[in-house]
Amino acid sequence: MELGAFVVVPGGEDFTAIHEVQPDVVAASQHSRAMYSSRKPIVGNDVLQSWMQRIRKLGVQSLWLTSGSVTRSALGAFARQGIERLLVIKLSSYAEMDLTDLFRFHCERRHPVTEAHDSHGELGVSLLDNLALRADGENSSATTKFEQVPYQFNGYAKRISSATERQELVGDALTGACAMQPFGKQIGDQVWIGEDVNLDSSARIIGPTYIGARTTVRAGVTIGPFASVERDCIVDCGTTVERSTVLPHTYLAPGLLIRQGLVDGSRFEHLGFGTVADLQPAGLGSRILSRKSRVQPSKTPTTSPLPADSNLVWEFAGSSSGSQAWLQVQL
Amino acid sequence: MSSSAQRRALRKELLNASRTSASPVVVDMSGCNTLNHDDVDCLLECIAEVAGRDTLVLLVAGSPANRVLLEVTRIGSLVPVFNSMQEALADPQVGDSITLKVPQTIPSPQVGSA
Repeated sequence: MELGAFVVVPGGEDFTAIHEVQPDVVAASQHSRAMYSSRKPIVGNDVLQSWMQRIRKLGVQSLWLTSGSVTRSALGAFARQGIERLLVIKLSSYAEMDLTDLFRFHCERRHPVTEAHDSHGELGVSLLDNLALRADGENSSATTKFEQVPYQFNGYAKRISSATERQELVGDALTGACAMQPFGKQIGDQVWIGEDVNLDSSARIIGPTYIGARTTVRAGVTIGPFASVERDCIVDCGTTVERSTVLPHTYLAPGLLIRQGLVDGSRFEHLGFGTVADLQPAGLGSRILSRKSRVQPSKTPTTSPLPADSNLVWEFAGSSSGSQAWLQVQL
Repeated sequence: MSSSAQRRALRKELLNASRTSASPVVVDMSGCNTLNHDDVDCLLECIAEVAGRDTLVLLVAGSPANRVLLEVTRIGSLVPVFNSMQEALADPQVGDSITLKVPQTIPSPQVGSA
């Protein structure tokens, strides 16, 4: 019985962003879109990669990626090609879920649709039988027509749809409250840094804290506690970053106080006020344009976004459903 | 805030108010959509100039985005910041105050060929 795995990146991201290594390139060009993308690294980790590793344990050789929303008819096209069971993961949560156990539960219950839940509700992980996809309606969502059997998940799970939830996951990863490990070398008590970090000797790093690869931390800077400055950032002199996340390719001007916020280029989302402010007009922050981000996204397949798994091979494959664009990824 | 003339005027008014009266000065930015680099500089200069005097300076952010920018620039840790005029006037330390209204933001002129 063939099992197909499908991962849906929410938010209607440009399809090229999925394989282009720099999802923030697209985000930067679309100012009105929600600033948070589930593909942005969390203490150096890609949540998609963590799901891929779990899917691989099911013995699945490849998965299909798409963005936006997925319709029943789009999945039905795969079902018609002989895939009998479909594992659909909406990339809206990080969950330390044993998918083998979910699969076993689904088979035992013999129900067309199983949806994983935790105490807060759906986790965006479902298993669908071919049967559930045969009577496909063009505009119906993937799992609405059949009654869903809930699979109760009691392990660690965190939604990552908002900046606040994301910051909670950062805190949990830094303190060991979940299995996600900061991607780098531990240099102190709950302090991790990535490769080639340029850390001024006068900078204060207060754990729990993560500093991503190739980030520059200048004189008099204080980072932490509960801070994550992701890869390729510059934090200028005297700035303080605490209980906050700074996303890749962000420049922060001197003397700032970044507290309880998520900074992505020039955009600052205050977790307490729930407000987004543009730092650019005041010269307080900006996007660092890397060499890769200055070129147009290529249609040529590239390698994995993060170094965590260098064996991944990205392959384009034609859409099976006509309107829905899919990318096949060999695991 | 917008032009350098308006910023100079604000600085002058603030200094005059601090010299001539002991009343608190409320700088109302309700009409200011966003703060640019010069606005932040102007606010910091004004606060520095009245720092040695008895005058209490208070800021009305006027918008959540301005409030965030005031916190990020640490201005919020130098002087009290309120969300609205009502909130500021309700504060017991304000009492009889002088209000300086910051003018509406004027977009920067676009540079380019006609």
